[in-house]
Amino acid sequence: MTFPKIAPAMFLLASLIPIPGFCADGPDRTSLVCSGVTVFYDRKDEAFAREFGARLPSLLQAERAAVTAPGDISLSAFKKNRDVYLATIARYLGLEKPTKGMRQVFDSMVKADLRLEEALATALKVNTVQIWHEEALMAHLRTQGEDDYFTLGKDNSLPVAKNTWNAPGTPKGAARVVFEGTTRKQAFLPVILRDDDPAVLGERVEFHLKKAADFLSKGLWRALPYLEDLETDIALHEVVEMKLVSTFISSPDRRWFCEGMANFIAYRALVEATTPERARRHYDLAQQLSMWGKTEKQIDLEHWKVVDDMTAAEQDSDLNKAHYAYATKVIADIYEKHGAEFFPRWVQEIAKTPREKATMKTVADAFERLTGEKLATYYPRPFFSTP
Amino acid sequence: MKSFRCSLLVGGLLFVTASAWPADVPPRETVTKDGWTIECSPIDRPAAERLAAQTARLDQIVQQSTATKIELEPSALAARAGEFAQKISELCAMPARQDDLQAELVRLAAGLAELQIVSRRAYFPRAIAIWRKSELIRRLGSGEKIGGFAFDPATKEVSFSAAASFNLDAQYHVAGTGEPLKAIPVKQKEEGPSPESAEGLIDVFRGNVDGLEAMNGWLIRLSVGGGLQMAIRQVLQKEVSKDPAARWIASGTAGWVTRLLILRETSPQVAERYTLAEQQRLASQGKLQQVKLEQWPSDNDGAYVLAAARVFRNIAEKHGNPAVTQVLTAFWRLPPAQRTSKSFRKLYQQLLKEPVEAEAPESTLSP
Repeated sequence: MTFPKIAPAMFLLASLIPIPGFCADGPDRTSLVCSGVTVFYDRKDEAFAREFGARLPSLLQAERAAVTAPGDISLSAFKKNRDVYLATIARYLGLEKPTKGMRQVFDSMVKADLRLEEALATALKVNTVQIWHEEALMAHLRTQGEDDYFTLGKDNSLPVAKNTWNAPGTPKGAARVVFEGTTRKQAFLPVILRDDDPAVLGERVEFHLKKAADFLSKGLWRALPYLEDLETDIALHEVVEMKLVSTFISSPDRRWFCEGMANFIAYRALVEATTPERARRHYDLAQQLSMWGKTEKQIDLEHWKVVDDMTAAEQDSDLNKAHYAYATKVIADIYEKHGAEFFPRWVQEIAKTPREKATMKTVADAFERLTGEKLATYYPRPFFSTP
Repeated sequence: MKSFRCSLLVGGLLFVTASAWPADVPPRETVTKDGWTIECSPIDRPAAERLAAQTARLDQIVQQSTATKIELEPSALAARAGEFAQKISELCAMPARQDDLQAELVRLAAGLAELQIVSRRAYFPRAIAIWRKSELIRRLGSGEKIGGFAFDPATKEVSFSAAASFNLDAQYHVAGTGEPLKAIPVKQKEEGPSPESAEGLIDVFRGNVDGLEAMNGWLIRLSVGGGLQMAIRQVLQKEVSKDPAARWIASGTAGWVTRLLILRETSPQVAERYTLAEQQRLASQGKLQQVKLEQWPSDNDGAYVLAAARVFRNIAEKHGNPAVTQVLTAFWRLPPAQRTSKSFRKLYQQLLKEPVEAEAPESTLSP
């Protein structure tokens, strides 16, 4: 798994926010600055803009503090506990201790993740507010088509805030955040006024502050903890996969084994360092299987190609994503049956064959020698097939 | 126990798109022979008669499909009740209740055997309905209700689902059933008068019977898993303090040990089919936020049962199954009145050096 493949998933996080409602007025825009935040508004909304702007800094501070990682593992805490995680991975792979290469992969992944986190934290720091009456905004967009902040929705009936971001992959990881279709470098806060808003100024300000708080904490800023959860899991996954490919097996048929082992051992490293409940917030196999259940009959682990042999479309397909879950299930089922102690024995049995000569037949033969079972019996079978 | 609701879209059975909307629909006809009823439109009467001439084969197909063995049959549960009771009491460190468990498992097996009969009756009526897609669309499109079929006017698509649901009461009797399937549908080709040979129709029938059998097997597996959990909980409940705050311990232990027993008696690949615990976990995710395990409700609400089982499953996942047995061993050593949630928490902290709340989903064990 490499970074560029993750970018589309993050892209989905971004906020495309249709805002219903209407109000009449023509654009007569001006702005004011409140504690470093520029507030744009129609002149007739001067009073609202001033009061809203005055209350905004404390709102931004409070809401930002309230957003924490669902998995409760920040990247910095994750980095600090590197040796604990790597020791678990080493144990599963039958290694006496983590190797230098494993530490290097971990460090470089976390370094890139921290750079991205920093870039994203800056990009998502709101430094602009756009206050619009919806009807005026619609009229403006119908004339202009779009501007740097808004565009029209699919059916041209609603304005859409352009806060959709992407993090283009680079060889050193993604440290740059791009807001799609804009020249902006930072997210902004849209405030759309409607006729049915509370009439009294103070109440209207409260109403929109609450909406803004929801927008920030439940929408825009959720990307940060999500990113931390995702990256934590991916860093451990990459450590396992790198070690397997660089030391034990590099044949083209290795894909499901390496991905399944990498996902599962990364999960176990999180379970052992935290709790299963927390670890599942980083990688939830049941949720993944439930999500991809519709593809079960098409899953063919033995012929799952390595990334280098796939087209971009194949890499991005649902079927490819589903294979990760089913590969992980095979390894999870083996764990259920044979326990954690089996894994170092299995890997070391595979290691009796030099890496260059090892194929999935080596893996299956090693499994059969140790368990007396055919590895293929663990491959996915559609739910309604006869067991 | 909650009812086991099952629904299956029989793959490829009927999934059609409307091309026309004829006005009149002739009344359906029936052909009966040897206890079989075959229903059809007049144009398909020759096909129905061809099928009626093959009733022995129809019976054989249904019978053969019953040969599909599930891994942990209710009959095996009865025959091995003593062995299972011993395994369960060893895992739960509760030897005093082995006989009680055995008796409970025998009662459960009898209830499940009854359920098997009811379920087969629901899924395999000795009735066939021959349908053409155009007729289905006409009938369903005009608002007629045909059991098992659904019609989407927007896409003009027809789908079939064989849904059955059952309840087992506290004595393991089948207490309620959903509407049984009225007839096994067989899809007839559209062109011309009854073009399908008997062999072709029988092939379609066989495919649909297999689909229904898979559905029936799913339902029985769930019943075995759910029944086992209920039986074990009923026995362990007698051993914990009468305070409702302690019930989660009995229920959670039952959930954990049921899964472990099934895992060991079957295989990891199929074990989840008996409990669907993971799917339930996902489906109930939202409900868990309202659960407080120490305020256990009198009706053994499903979300509570699930949360309790998850605590024990999480303990096992983090510390291993022997750790669960270790904690339970120490817990059962306490006098019955002291087997409370508070003492369980204390023992857990002493033995595993962390609070049990950490293993509870969604703060369900937080004060």
